[in-house]
Amino acid sequence: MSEALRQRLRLVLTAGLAVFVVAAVVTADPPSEDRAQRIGSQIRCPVCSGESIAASPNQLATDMMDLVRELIAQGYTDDQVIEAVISGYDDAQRLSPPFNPATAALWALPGVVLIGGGAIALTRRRPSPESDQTP
Amino acid sequence: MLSFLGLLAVLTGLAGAIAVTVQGARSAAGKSVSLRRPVAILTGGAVAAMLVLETAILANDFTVRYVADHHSRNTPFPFNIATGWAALEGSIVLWGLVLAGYTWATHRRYERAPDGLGAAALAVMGLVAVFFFGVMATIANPFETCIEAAARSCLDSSPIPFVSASAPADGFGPNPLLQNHILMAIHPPMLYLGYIGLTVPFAYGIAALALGRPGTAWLVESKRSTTVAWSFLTLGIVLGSWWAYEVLSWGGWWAWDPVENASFMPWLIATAFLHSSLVQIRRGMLQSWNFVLVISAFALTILGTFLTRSGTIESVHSFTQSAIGPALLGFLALILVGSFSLFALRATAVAQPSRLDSLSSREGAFLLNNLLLTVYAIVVLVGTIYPIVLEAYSGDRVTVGAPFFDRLTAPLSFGLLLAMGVGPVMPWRLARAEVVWRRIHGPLQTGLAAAAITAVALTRVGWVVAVVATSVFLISVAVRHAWVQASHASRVKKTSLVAEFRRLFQRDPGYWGGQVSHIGVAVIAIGIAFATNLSTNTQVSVVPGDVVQFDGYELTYTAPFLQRYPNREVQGARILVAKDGKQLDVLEPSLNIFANSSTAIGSPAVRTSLGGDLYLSVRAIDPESVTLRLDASPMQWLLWFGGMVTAAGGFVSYRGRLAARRDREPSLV
Repeated sequence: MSEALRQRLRLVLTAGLAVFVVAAVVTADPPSEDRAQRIGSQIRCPVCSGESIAASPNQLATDMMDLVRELIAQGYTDDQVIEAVISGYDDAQRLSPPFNPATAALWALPGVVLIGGGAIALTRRRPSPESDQTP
Repeated sequence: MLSFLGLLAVLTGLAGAIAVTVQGARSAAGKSVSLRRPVAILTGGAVAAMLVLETAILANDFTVRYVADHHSRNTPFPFNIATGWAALEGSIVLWGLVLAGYTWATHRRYERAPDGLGAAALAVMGLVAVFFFGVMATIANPFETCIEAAARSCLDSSPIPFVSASAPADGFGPNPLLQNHILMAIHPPMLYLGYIGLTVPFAYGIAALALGRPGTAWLVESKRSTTVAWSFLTLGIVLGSWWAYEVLSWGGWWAWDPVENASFMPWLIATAFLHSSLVQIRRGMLQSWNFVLVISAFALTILGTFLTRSGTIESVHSFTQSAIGPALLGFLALILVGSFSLFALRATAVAQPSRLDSLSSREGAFLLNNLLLTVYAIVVLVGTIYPIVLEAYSGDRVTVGAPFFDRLTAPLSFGLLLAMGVGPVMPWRLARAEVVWRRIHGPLQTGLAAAAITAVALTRVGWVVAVVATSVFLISVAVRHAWVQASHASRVKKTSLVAEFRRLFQRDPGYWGGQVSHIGVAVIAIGIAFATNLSTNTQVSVVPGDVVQFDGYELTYTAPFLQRYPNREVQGARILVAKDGKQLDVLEPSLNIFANSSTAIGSPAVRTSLGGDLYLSVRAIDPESVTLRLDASPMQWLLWFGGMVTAAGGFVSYRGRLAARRDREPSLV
């Protein structure tokens, strides 16, 4: 078998595997997720230290999780459930802060640094790789 | 008496620290002075302070306020020893001891070839020690004498030794969370060895700036300490996470708690620094960037200590509140303003002599790695301090919790994983596509095959499959690289393959240690993907005799039990674990009620096997029934194992040769 043919076979094998993996992922059924768990992990337990109501063994957290399940059963959307469960508290009960003027910097800063840093790295490049003589 | 000896030790350490600073600075200025005696005094004082504190604890000397407030006669071994650093003042004593240890090691290295850079670095380390011993001598004095005792603690104390002392008959004992698992006694010292070790590269960096010598000498001289510090920091973070998993009974291992973040931020920046310093040593690039990183890494360790110890942030860890907060904040400001002013003053000396030839090169991959790690650290930093800053300025309250961190760090982690796979096989300067392709196509197939198996056998959730593909790819790249080199050498030299593998590590421990760490990180990534995605949990209420089916196990609740210890009462449930009718184990999850605390602390019971963990925790218990949370996490051990491998890689590369080896680029086939 010639080297060129072996190369081509390898490429075909790699591509075939990649296609298979992508197809398997794309055609997968949506995971049967625990909605209550996911919503509960977004809400802070009011009387615990930094835990979500899904994680806390506290009685109040357990009660709030029961409310989450009840509202899901009544057909509420995720946002509506969170809205209803934290009514009476402020937005600080959300473990993922909402995007608003007060939190704009929080959400934007990492992206700004990523883009800015990337731009600096790119502009630091030499115009031509061949021109380098110094070690 | 012990109060007096302790204070004497602290003052000795302080005197030694001042002497190291002064003599180091004089020596750096060209005077011929020995640093041996100052360093010996500093080290002696630090060791004595820790010994006196431990003696006071072991001797139950409740006239010492720290002992009265944090120790109790019935605190068992080894938690009584750990009490010596578990609370604020003691932790500063440990800090001083570790810093003195690093100073001593740096001095030993310096003595072999004394130069201005080493002397100046020792002066900087002395200055840092002045702060910590100064704090010990004043606002956080662990040796204050108790002058007015309450039933189980000290009401009033005096810094002056030999005042008429008063002592409670017994003390309160340590925080309950600190006395129920052996990992709790181990992981903080590991973290401290990591945190404080970062003082060494910082000191060398400042010394290089102060002397106007921004070459590679400071990086080379401090490389060993940086690697040791990084390895301990890794170990500390992993063990801390393991402790949280085994003790905190919420079934998780990482909560983006401010204290976890405090240890993670310096780790991220130190990791970036380990890589970027290599770029400067090899290619002369990133000079100023390395100064920025080393100053940031050190500042983040102080910020981390501030967050942990000042009680500013609500967290299970912030059990201490005291005057140390403002002092640490002031010190942090001093470091940032001082260091960056010096950096700005020397800006002209810190030139960029060499630039990047091509983004497609080893240094290009390092640049990407540095960018991602820095952004990662900024995400963690901003997320951790944003609520405090916002509330301080506008009064608005906001919580930044796990969902925020997860969402922002997931893509960054994935990008890092990819860079770790390709980076190590990219040649320096310019990586031509066909060269890189030759080195990665085999591993690429292995990674894709692993992904295919995952998709068929375990899960078809996209990101899990992607993480498996990337991680297995990364591991195969490293293994193939080692295999190609070792087998080639053994064929040519007619030696055994095993001997050639060993020789790889002997010849370039820096590179291969790094590869071991990369493999460890890949294992962690697979562990996280599995544990997050394939784990299941449920909550059940059972009465004795009930049988529950869960994750293929048959769990039988036999009876509640009650155990009384001197310091706590344990209420638990005895659960028989069986599979396919075969009895496997008896698990006893429980709630601990401590004498000095009203809240019950859960102790989960974990059955670990190769396939995964069965994790039981008590939510509520009364004589009739018990409410249990059941967690099944497949291959949870991958996380701890991967963490150990990552740290081990650091310890391997510790022996790494320091000189740049431009002409010995490992030849790849």
